[in-house]
Amino acid sequence: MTASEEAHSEGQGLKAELISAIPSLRAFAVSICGNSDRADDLVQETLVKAWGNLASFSEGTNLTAWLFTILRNIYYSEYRKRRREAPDPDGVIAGRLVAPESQHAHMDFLDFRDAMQKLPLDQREALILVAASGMSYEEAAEICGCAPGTMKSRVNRARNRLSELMSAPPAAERREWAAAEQLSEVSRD
Amino acid sequence: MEFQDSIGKELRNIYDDVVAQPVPDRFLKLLNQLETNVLSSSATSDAPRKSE
Repeated sequence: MTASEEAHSEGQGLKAELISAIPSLRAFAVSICGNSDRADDLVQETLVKAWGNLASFSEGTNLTAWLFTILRNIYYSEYRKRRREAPDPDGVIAGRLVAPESQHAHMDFLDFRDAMQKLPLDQREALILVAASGMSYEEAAEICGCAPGTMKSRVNRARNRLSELMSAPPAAERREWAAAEQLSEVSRD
Repeated sequence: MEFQDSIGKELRNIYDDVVAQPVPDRFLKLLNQLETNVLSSSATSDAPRKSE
């Protein structure tokens, strides 16, 4: 086999592996950024970066985990950059930037996605890796470069915060509910 | 605890929904392009960093 033939067959095998990792990579990206267009741009950047850094991938290790690490690093640096440009300490704006084009389609789903986007990034990421992708705390910790115990506490905090966010209805809704309750009390009398 | 289980379910729904989708063409094209660039520039050591 000539050098170029060898390079070609190596590329083919690796390409097939990259392709088979794309569905999970997209799912991770959508879950973490809450916007499917932006998610696919993230996946594209990840693939280009991965291809350019294949030398640093140790064969026999988990390619998907390696790609997840690249993607979250890209997302983190974009996130930091955006915050420097437009500080949003409480995530108020970030919370509003979620999929405006389909806001009326699936209200329940978007409520959940809105709540997800209000979680601190490290907690959101922990929850997605462990609860959605089904990774172990150890695997998720490896991707995020933290200790498994830290991962576990991030997941717990994320779950609690999400429960809070989703059980507190917006003020307008609360007023309607209060009105409806009063009405039903009146009709019961 | 019941509500916490529904969080897990919701997360998996979003995630699995995307996992089940076919790989979009743009990524197949991108990988073909990256591969072509590598083969045509196999004399140079650096892989291409940019591609549209």
